[in-house]
Amino acid sequence: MIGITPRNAMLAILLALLVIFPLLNVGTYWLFILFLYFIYFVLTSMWNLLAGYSGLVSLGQPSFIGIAAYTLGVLLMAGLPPYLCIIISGVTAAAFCFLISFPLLRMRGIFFAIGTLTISEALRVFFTNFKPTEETAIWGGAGIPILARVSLTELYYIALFICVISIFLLRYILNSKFGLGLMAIRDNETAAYSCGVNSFKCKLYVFVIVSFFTGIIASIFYLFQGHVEPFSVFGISWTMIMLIAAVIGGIGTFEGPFIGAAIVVFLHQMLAKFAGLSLIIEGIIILVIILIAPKGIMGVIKRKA
Amino acid sequence: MVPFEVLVGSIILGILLGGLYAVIGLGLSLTFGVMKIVNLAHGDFLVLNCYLAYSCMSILGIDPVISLLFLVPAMFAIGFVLQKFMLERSLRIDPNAPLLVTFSISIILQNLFLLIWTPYSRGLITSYSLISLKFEPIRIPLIYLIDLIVALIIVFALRAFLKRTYLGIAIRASSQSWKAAHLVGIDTLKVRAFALGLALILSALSGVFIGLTLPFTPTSGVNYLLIAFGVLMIGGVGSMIGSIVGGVIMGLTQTLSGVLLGAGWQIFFSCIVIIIALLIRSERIVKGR
Repeated sequence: MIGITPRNAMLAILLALLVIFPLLNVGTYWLFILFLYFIYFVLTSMWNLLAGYSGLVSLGQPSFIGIAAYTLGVLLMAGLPPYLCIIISGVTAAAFCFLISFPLLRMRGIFFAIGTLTISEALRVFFTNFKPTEETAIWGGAGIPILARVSLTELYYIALFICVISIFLLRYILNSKFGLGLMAIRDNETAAYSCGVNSFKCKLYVFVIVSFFTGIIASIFYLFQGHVEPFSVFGISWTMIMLIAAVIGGIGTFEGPFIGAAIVVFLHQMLAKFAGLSLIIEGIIILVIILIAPKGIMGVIKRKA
Repeated sequence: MVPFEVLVGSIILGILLGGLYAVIGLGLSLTFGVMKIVNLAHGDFLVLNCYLAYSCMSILGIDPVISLLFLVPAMFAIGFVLQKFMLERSLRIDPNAPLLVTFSISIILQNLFLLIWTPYSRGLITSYSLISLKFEPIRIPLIYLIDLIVALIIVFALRAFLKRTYLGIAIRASSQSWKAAHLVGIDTLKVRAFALGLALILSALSGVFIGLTLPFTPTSGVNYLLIAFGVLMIGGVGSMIGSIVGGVIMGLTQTLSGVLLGAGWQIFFSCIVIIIALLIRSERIVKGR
């Protein structure tokens, strides 16, 4: 599968550069920017696998982000080592996804979108009201602290590692029978089913894989953030990040999330000064791109080529 | 535990609120029926009307109910234009494009509210919105009764419109099959634009009365979208009786969970009802039964 072609050689060089980047002593700002890029990239490419390739437009990815972040917080409070916590929180997100898959995956199209939105909204309300302890400073609307400090350089490498794994996994899935099945389901579920694609199984696998990676990368992000709070973990802004990055890059294209995530990181830095306006501007960008170039930047490039 | 009269009072309030919730649901049902898309900004348009009526009241001193005189035509125009120039285009791209378009409209509206009207909770407080009727030991705010009466009038007017007028019949025909409607000479493009215009008129009407009854914040729209969706799921597309039943169920869920567990849990239980309704009804709704 992986031969020595000019493209692969270039990617290898790029990877090597990213690996030695923290050793160059460039300052935390650029390290943070790249770290953010890895996080946004994994979230977007996973959402893209779900929405762009499998036709499951989920508006409830924050559920997995939130579940993973809360698991991370609770496990760290119990005194487990951070690395183990990251893995367990990914597994918890995947397990939660498995549970809700049985009702959700019976719904199609719009109903799936609304179902996922409803679940993430329900979780947000649940965690805002949930108070297992008597202490007023934690849980509820105040959220929980992340009781571990891992240096940014270390987190950078973990995020890069997850990023590389997810790229290989995506390529593997999209070139496999499983990936073909997913795309067949997206284009016409009934026809795919009558050709012998077990549509429920395919959708279940992809949904669980996506939620596992979403959970893992989210827990890495919150390990950096240091605090978990229901309004931010289950917030609409996470959905917006995935949506805008996928739409700009091109929904249903492999290269789209690479470009889209980079633009979103850049956009966030630009718009940081205008806190009130930033989501309005992002919304307008999505509107304009969907109406003018529905396949995003990659769509435009491919049409020209 | 909760005193008996409080429980009875909240059941009555839930039923009274149900009428307005039915109207909110019917707005969503109209667009879903005709275009087979869910307008994710439905709740935010409702809150937009709450805020516009609030500004009319606080700046110009106009009563919220009278402000409907210009809110209704304005909302119709917005709906018509939105469908004609934006949603129509996205409908042709692929089935998921309208979803993303209405989602971003919802985000834009929510953040505009936040920018213009600040995050504080607001309400339309008038002389009549504070009166309550006493049936000892239960007290019922007058506005809840007005809500139910207004809602029933709207539902029956809408029913008459859909049954008697050409446009109403055209809307119903397009919601059964827009291809067949197109074949018999209905201008489906115009019908879709009218349907969204009508849906936004309903959101203006229900928005003003919701504003008179309950407080609202910039993010209340999500709550009303979920309620509308619950009503649509329980009641089915275009069914008036079904929508009223759905509205009452959603109303009771809200008031009862509020009384029994506290106001924070209201949305949680609405979500649970919606998920149950989605499970039982989503296939039937798609097939249009």
